[in-house]
Amino acid sequence: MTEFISANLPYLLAGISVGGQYALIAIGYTMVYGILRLINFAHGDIFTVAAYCMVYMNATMPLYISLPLTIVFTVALGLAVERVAYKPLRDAPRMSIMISAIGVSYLLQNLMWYVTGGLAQQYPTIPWISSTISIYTATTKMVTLVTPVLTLVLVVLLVQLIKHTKIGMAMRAVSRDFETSRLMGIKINGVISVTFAIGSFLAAVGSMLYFSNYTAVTPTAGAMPGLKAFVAAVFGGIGSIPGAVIGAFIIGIAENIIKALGWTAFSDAFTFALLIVILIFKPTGLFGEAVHEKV
Amino acid sequence: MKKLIALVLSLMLFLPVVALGEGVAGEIVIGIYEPASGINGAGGKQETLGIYYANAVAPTVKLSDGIYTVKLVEVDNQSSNDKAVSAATQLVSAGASIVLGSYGSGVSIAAAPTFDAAGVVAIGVSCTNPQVTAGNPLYYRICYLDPFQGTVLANFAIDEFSAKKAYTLAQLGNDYDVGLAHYFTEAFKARGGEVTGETFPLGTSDFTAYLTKAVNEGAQVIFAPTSTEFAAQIITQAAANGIKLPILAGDTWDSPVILEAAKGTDLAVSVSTFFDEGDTSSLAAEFVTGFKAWLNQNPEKLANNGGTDIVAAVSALGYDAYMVALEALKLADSGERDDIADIMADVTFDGVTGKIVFGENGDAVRNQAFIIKSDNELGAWQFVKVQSVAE
Amino acid sequence: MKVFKIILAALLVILALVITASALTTRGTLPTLLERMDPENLAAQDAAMQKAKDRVTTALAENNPERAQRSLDRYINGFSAQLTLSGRVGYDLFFFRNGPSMLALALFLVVAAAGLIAHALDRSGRVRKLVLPAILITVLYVGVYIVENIAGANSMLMTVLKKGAIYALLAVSMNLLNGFTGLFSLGQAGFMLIGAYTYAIFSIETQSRAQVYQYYAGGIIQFQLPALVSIALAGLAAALFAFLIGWPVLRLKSDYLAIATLGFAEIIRAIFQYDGLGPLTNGSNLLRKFTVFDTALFPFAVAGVCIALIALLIHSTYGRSFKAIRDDEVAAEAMGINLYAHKQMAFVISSFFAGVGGALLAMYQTTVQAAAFTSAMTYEILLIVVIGGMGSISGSVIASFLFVAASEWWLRFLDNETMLGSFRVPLLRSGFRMVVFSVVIMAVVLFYRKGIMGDRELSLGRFRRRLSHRRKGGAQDG
Repeated sequence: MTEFISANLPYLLAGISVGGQYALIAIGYTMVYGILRLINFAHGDIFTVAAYCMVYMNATMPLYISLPLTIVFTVALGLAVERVAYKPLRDAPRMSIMISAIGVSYLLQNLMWYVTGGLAQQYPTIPWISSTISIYTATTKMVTLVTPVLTLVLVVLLVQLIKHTKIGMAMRAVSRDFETSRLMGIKINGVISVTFAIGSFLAAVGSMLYFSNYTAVTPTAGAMPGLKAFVAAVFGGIGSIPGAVIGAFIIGIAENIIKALGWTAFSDAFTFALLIVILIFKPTGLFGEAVHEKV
Repeated sequence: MKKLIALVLSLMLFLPVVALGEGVAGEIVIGIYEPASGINGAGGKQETLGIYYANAVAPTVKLSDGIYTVKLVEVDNQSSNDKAVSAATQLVSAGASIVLGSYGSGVSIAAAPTFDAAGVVAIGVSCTNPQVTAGNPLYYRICYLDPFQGTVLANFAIDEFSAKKAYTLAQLGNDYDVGLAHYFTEAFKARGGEVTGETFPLGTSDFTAYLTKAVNEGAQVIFAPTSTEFAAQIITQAAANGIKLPILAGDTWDSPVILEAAKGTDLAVSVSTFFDEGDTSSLAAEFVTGFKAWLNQNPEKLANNGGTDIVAAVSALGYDAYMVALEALKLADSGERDDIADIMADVTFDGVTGKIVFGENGDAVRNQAFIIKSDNELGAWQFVKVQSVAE
Repeated sequence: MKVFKIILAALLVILALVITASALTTRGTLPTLLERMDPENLAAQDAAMQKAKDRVTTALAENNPERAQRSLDRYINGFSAQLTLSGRVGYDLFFFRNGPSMLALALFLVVAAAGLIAHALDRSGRVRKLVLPAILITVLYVGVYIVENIAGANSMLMTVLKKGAIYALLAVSMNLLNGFTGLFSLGQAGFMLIGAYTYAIFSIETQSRAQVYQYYAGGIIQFQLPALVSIALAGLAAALFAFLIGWPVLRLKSDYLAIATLGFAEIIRAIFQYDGLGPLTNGSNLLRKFTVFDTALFPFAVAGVCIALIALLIHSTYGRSFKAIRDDEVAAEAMGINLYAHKQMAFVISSFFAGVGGALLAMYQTTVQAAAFTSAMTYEILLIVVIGGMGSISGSVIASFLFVAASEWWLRFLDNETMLGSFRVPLLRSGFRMVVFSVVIMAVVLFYRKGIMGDRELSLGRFRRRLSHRRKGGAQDG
């Protein structure tokens, strides 16, 4: 038994930590989808840009400046993307906005490629969370433990925000019925901006945790975590924040179990297989609400 | 109107036909087919630096009808096999007489048919997979091959660490990784060892699971012949997870990236390579001092070398490749592709990485490799020994 | 008038016959031509000249026509002063060097003559309508062939044309689904992968299999199929897979469909890289040494036929049903269109052609590897469809050529550091090309949402009408 635990504890720890990081990205997806019905394909790339920001800013500034500045910059980028690429298409068919999202993702990746010269960059070490600790028989980085805790704290705060503040109420209203809430005098654009700001903020935090663990930053580093986080959001029921978080943890842990079993080639494929199974048998996910198509 | 614009633009497709021509008289073009970005970008840049240094040392070539300046044309194959064809075509249409490259075997294999069809001789610099030259008559190579390197490392693992069981870790679909792991496994098993192995897909950033597996399976040595981008992560994650197994790798790991990642950890990283900076033979020593001085003149070059003036083996190979190309031009007494193709097999050269003579399949005859290990305090390489297969 | 046309046609035919005869009689006459170019055997006194001459004969003896051609060019360029290159010899030499192009030109002349005759004799006008398109198509193919012979098969221009033709097919097949049927699928790369692998697996030379499948003891397939059969199989394999996943996937709506197809493409990629299938797929390693095309006509012909088939389908009743589904599913169903059957049909057919396109792409790249077929590839083709116009075949075709030419060729200069005198042009360095390129694409997506063609087609009739309209308008203004 002890042997079994000591053999498998590292997988479990890796699963939980990566799950928490997916969760932080997934919230951005699920909130945007809940309000705009848009898969924000650029979200994974915003996550990567945050990492590059950190790399470049940390080279010239002390951590206590570069860290908040990275978050501010990421939030600004998220807002800018929304303004430039999604807002003009608000009344266009959904397909057009999605294509625009794909275009933004393509642009951001090429831009990062250009700026960095396409080489992997080392992520700076953030004191304390990058330090190593031993748990039972496994050795790991502090970030592995910090991630799930921080994720849960942030989620609880977010849920409070949505439940108890005015802007939260507006967000709920908009995600329930876009047109009606617009008629009711809710400032749609403001609500959407706040949504993107929150999503980008969490992506920036997620990026710090993720890249403290996996330190190589490349222009496409965020693509896979982004897609997986999206799958997590669908899995948990798109539009539902607790759903996204639980979905993310399940996917993170399942992925590492697959690796432990020696099916490493299929660890990405598994995530997508899970997605398809969910879409077929329970399209609304674990916690999603059923949406009825109106004629 | 829109349609008219589209039509005009489409017609423009046909315009620049005339512009494509052969190199200007008095100038010979040598193509550099190397990655400057992507997973092999760091290594590709170092190799390219070696070529540029060689060009700085010998910027002209004397043929019987006069002195020709050598013009280098560089193209970035982005470490990606599906970009290989258009990158190679670019060099061909730039009029390259001969092509050097690439770092990374996959892109070389993928570009070989394009070079072949245009009749251009290509000199593989550090692509070690046998498939680069096998079946491609115009592809030559100046470094050793993976069956050799794999055997060297397997021998080293058994002799040095008395390993009975090894774990190999390679990137899925990377010809270099998979090939070298394959030959290592064959050689290791041939000497009675046991090997388990795994592959990870491109874009992987979490290696904890793989490393844990190596420990759980009781491996005594990890063999991870990956590209440097993953190497850095494998090392940092191994250190973070308290894994103490010695790590072995092939020539790609001879890079400042590895030293930086291993610095301050207690990991034993040993690497086989083509060239040792501490080599005291006059040729090598001269190259090392010259190259360092050249690097230190220019911060940009220094940055391309990974921010240090440590001489990577691939830079030495790049230097030799350029010199071999000049030898070929002299022997052919011509910059014409066909003339070069005719005499290429007969070219020999005393390079800084040893004597280069082309043997079977156009591969250089090599029978020794240098083994170096990382000094984690100084952040430098330490020479261990010269290993050959016969031992 | 009629007589003139017929006389003109007869002249064209005679010209074509002369050209054909000249081209055919000079075929394979290089050894005699060499002697005729150098009647006094000056080469015997000039070692360099003799060497250049020998190079040609050696290449001929080695049976290497490309090399013979290159050596001949060198011989002529280097010693044009000593050689007899005028008169009859020059004429024969011209036809020898440009034989294939001249034959193509003759073919074009015959088609033009046939068109003239049809124009003169046909009263109903039914044949007349076909004349111009037939001539234009011949011009296209003959033009491609001649340009290829002039520019060389390995020139950047031909690379762009070849890749452009292949991308055109891929874009049109994606447009059939996304633009005409309104199914937002992102599985294109997956179907291309199946096509490319099926093609490669069946058409690797038998004697090279041991080398290609070196880690899998030569693989389990030990025969080679002809290229066209393999291409058809590639299409069928992709179509079969589409048929299988169509059942679960096509019940999903818009973005769920998109993400599910994207997921399947990723799963396919993982399966093809799986080591256990190595004897068939070579694991994750490169497949190579399969039959490739040596002329751009091949991708042009295959892509042309496929695109024509898709166009025919779209103009049939099925095509109208597809559009009805795109415009309003509920209304379409109410009109008696079987939603599922039609969606399935569009999905399977689109995948078939994606598979064929994948096979062509494999031939173009000469090697194939599953790792390259990522979702980025799908996005690229989707962006081509958007630039060309969702729902326009000609738009997709034009956009493909523009996209490939711009990304592979025209914008290349943006990647090179450039000095104007001592002034270093800012921003220009590796990667800038793709940044500019994606900014242009974003501009199209945002401000030019209909793309080049919107949902209309390039049509000669409309073009002609517009021209005449403009002429009339101009006359009124004047």
